[in-house]
Amino acid sequence: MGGGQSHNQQGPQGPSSSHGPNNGSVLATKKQQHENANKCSPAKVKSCLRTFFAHLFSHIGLCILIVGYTIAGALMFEKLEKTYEMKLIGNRTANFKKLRLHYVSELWNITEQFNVLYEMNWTSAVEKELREFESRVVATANTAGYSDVKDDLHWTFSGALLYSVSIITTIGYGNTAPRTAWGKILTMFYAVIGVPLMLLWLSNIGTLMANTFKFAYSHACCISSNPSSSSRSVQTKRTPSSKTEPSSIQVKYSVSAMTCETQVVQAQQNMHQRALNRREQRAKLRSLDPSAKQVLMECAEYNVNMDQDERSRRILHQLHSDSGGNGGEMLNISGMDEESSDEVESVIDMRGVTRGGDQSDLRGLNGGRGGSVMEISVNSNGMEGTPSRIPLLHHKGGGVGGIESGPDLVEVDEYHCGGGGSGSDGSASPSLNKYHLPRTEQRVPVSLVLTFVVLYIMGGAAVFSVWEKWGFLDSAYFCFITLSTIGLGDYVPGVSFGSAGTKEGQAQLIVCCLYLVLGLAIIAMSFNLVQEEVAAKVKDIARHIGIIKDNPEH
Amino acid sequence: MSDLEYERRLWPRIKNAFRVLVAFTFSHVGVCGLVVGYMICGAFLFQMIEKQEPNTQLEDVRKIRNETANELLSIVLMFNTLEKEEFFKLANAAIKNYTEEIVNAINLGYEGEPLNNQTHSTSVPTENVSWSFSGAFLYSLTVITTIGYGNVAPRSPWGKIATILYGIIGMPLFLLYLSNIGDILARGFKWTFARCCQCRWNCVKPRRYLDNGQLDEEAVPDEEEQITVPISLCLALMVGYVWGGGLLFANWEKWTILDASYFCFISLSTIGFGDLVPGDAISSTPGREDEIQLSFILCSLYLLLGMALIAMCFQLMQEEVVATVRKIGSRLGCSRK
Repeated sequence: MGGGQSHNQQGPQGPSSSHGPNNGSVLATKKQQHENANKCSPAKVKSCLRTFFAHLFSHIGLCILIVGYTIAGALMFEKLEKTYEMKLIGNRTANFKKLRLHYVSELWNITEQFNVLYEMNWTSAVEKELREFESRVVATANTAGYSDVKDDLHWTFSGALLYSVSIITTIGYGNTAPRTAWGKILTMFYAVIGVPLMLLWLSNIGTLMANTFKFAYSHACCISSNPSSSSRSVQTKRTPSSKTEPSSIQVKYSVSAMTCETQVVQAQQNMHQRALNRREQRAKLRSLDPSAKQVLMECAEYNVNMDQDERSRRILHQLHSDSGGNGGEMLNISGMDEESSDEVESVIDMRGVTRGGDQSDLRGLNGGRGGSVMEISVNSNGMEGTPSRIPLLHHKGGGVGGIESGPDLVEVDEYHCGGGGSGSDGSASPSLNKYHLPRTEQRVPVSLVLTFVVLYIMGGAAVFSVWEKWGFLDSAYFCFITLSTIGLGDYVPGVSFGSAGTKEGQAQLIVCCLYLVLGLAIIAMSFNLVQEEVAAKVKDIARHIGIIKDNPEH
Repeated sequence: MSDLEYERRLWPRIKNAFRVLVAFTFSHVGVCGLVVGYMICGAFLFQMIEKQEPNTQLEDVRKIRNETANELLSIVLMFNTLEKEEFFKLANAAIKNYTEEIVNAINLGYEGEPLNNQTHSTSVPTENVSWSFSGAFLYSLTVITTIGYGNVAPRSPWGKIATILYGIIGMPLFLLYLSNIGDILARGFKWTFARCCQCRWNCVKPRRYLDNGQLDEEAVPDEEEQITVPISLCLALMVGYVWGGGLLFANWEKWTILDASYFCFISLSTIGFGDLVPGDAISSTPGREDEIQLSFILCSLYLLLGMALIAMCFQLMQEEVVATVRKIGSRLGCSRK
């Protein structure tokens, strides 16, 4: 089989992966691992700890890191730039004073010149002087370094904080900008480290928030509509969305032995959306796709053997009574661990007879964008009563013909089949023994997400328009420019004339930072939520227009 | 062939041609043209919107000047015998007021009296240059790339609304451009690199580890996938581009090299402070508006090319990083046995 990134692990290292086609069933390997697991208990503890720390570092740790980085940057830049700015302002004030003195004495001279006051002459002379004075004021203001002329410092702590945030989010307002050479050099280095860090954090928190949103949405949706179907919590956890090659098919499996039953129900519902009526669970199980059923069966068997799980026993019973001759395919479970994403799931290596004679192997396609995916084109060989659709696949994009897109696969938070995960090699997911079954994601409609984002912008606009005495349009414009990271800088809260140095102004700056960061997180979340749907719709439109030719096999 | 038949055959051909055209536009090279066309349209749009703004500031400042002159006159007339200190104190106050008003105007964008009235040349040019075609072109570029300098910003409400809408459509378009062009450039670069590799050294095939931990000597790499450009080369390319741009702009804009490199870096990373913008230094001498416009166009081209290069480098680096991590991971995994 291709994709030789997998490697063989025997023993207490997760589901043993073997390259050979017929390596026995999952059960055997599970038993083996469980035995080994019992021997290496500290390793199990270690792996637990490792999971814990992995999760900690991925979410909270990153948040703390970002906050710390921003604050450190603020302190650093403030120290660098404050003295220089104070010097500049001092110079400018002194220049203004000198100018004033000079021109006032000029005026005195003019006044003295005219023994008798001819108003016209005097006025024109004074006008000339005033004009000259003004242009010199303008010139002085322009050369002092900052485009806005104020006596309040730009480089207060909150100003520097906003500056740091504007660097790492690449917004870059520019109202506060470094003037010293060291400031500029440090800005560049700060950006080189900070921008990727911010992107990492955004993708992380975008995923987290997207999952929360989906969770809340599915609950709200189901509470309002159908209390029976998916009232059980469907924890969905997806790997950070990665851009996939158009012709790859992603398969993510996840199973939790505890919720095998729910999953089966779920999987069923998603597989047979049109055909689903109120069947008994038994009937649902019966019509489960054979390959999925086999997985389920083995999982349940293992659980029963190991833990005497009541529920698993029930499932097993039902499966056995239904199976009859259902074994069609030989399931070959081998796990691979991929480390390129932080939520690694073991991928099941399955072979099957393909439909339409399309023989394809499973290749471990380690997604070029950081996801670990498997490329599968496995079809079931339509047993009686089973749908000819492949529930286990999610067909992304074109390329491999003849496979209908199944429901989205989502891995489930889990508990592993058996004591597993012990002695896993740790660099990958600590719970390599997960098996995954497909389950539909609750798709949040695009309109809802867009409404949410627009509401956030409007809310921010309202707040800023009240605080900064801008108009509503100006505030909305500011919010948009900020959240899109354009950051023109013509409107910046907290630096308007008169409020810059005050406590209020500083508080406004900090609130602006928070609004900004939260808004970017929300935008990351909305991208996460809608990108698939939007991509699918765009492809549909493109196909409709005719840019992409229709798949002739459809 | 009858007329009817001819028409029947013509229509599918037209549709086909249209389809090909649209496909071309949205793929690869066509996206480049699409983005440039979008920016040109945006330039016209913003130029139209913003130039209509009458420059009321000039009138306001003139009014203030008159008022100050009147105030001074009244000071002088107030006293039959004028003491110097008295005059100084009062005139100082009046001038101070005047200064504050000017400063307010400056903060709102006032740039001084237009040149033709001046006898000396310390004024800066008016907004005409900022919103000329090339200035508006640079502005459109900064919006859709999200650089957003801000030295030129819309003042009218319609300009702001137009900016929002323009950005909403333009930013995804630009991302599309980046991904397409980055893809093409990455492929071309890899191909070139592979050729160089083959010519000079034998290309180092990434090692694969078999099940038993031994080196897989017989692995045959895929054609394109296995050749990854080393990260150092990509980084050197990016740094070189920033540095080269720095030299260029230092020469053209009379900045220091540090300032110019800083400007290139800040622009290419889409931070875009706007403290340093092309056309600033030249604008201090009057009458060189053509040069300013040329520098705007030059800056736009530099940015377009630079962002494509950076997209390419990121793609190449990403592949390399993934391959390296995989290698490390497999090695680690094997070594744990």
